[in-house]
Amino acid sequence: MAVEAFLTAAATVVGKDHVIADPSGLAPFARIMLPLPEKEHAPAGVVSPKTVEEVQALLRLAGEHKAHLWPTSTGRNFGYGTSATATPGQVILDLRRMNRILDVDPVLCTALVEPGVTYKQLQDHLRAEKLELWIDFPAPGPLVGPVGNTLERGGGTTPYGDHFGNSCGYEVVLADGTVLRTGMGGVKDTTSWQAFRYGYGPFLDGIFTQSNFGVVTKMGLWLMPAPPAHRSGMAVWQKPDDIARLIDALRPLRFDGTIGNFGTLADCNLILASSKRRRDVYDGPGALPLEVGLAEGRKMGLGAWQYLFSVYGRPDRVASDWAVIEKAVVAAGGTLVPDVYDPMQVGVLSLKTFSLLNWVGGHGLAWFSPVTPMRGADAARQMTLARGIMDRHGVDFMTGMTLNGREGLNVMPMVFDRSDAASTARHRACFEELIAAFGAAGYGFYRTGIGFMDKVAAVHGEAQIEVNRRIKRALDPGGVIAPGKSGIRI
Amino acid sequence: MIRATIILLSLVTPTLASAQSAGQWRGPEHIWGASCGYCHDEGVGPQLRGRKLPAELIPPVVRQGLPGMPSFHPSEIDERELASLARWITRSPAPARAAAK
Repeated sequence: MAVEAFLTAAATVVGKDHVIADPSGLAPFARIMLPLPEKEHAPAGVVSPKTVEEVQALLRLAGEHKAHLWPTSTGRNFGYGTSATATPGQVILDLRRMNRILDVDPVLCTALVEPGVTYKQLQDHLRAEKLELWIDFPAPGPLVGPVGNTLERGGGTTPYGDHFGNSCGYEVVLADGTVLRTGMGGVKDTTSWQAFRYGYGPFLDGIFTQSNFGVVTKMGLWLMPAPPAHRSGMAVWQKPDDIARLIDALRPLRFDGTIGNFGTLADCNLILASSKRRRDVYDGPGALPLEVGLAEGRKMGLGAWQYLFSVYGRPDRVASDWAVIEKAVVAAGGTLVPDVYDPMQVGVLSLKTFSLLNWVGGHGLAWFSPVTPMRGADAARQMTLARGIMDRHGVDFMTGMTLNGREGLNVMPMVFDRSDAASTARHRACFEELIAAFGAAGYGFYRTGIGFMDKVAAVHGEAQIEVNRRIKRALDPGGVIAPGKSGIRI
Repeated sequence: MIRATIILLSLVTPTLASAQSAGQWRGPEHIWGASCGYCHDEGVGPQLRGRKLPAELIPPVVRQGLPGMPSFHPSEIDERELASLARWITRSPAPARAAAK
């Protein structure tokens, strides 16, 4: 077997303690939360290098043995596939042992890190150095790291929430062992690798995100100077139909920077599911009915929609921005609840978002993540479309949308019991119908999980699939790295 | 040479102090505080301390996970660290906040 021969050879590179091939050792890496059978995504092994040289050697060996390597950083990606591979039989290239913080520049407020560095590790380091710098992290912040989340184009909810947009300079090992430093990193004795992301000529960083064109072994990122003041709040709208006017009211506040972060627009059910057990709210057939969710939410002071946001800056600016927001929210029929604390928005690591998994208690989670152009009419159309399909499949509707540049990322979690085969099948069918329906309505996607990548790639069109294939053939002609990632193959 | 060594150490030492992969943890309390506690001290998962849970039952759960709990890989916590963490959880008293409830 090619994979067995590769794993034997890999042990001579990384040491046998850092190669896993037995089924019990592989089980933690095969475990997924998506509504898919684990066997369709089961890895054949795990290799954990410590150095760039070991990554180069492993890529060469994989090419010789025709093995496939699926790179992971901390291997989380909850609800998008965890560590598991797009197709069965791939070997996970687990980069968690590569976890050096190589540089923190307190003047330019930048860092250079390896893939295994976690947000918690980076934050602890900044505190030990007494640096007043914030990092921005996604919901599973303490357990995951900047490289993996940025390469998936994940986001957070401080003003630096666009992780790809705040990354600066990558080191990438290509399938033939070539080491590429992007942007200013190619300059001998570079002084500005983390200072200017575009470099000279084509800007390449993007092709190494959500892709399989190389293995990123270092990444620069910008850190946010701790703001002198900040204030968080929650704007509440009572009716489901308020979605259009609230988006139209919030959009100008985002565009002119009055609201300093993406924030999170949570529907009533998302907060219910994060704080209650489903059986205590509804035990009838089918999906949680709209009116039942709203009635339960009202007991907690919730409306149909809650926008959790923050303003940042000097105290006078915070006060004046707050006043503008309050006026706009009230004019649009909402109410503003001051000083609602969302730890993620103020640089405090937390895993409280994952209380969501207690809703049904079965380790099933899949994020359906279409992009909403930031128009009220589009947001309303998406919510109606999604809820209609979910209701038919008996899937609870919930969403947490971030308001980014000109778009909202309409991230809808599906929470279900993976040990219930019928429920898992319903959620899979629902997810696939949603992809098709949103594509047919002219919407595309910000991200998706293993098992759904080909379908989402198809929505984005044959020309994109073909160009990605040409790039793949040029950079990885043997198709060694992560075949099937984002629907890309040789 | 000595000067170069000192500069090198000053660059590297903070990284090691905060390092959080297998073989780098400073002890079970460090693991708990940087990882487990975010759920098990915050009501996301159940409190485990103060329950005298059998230490031998803990490592398989950490590796395989439970409904709602992720699995943890050997590259983030090794067998020796996991065994030490399990013993620490078993013998730890309930935290003051939980005990007061």
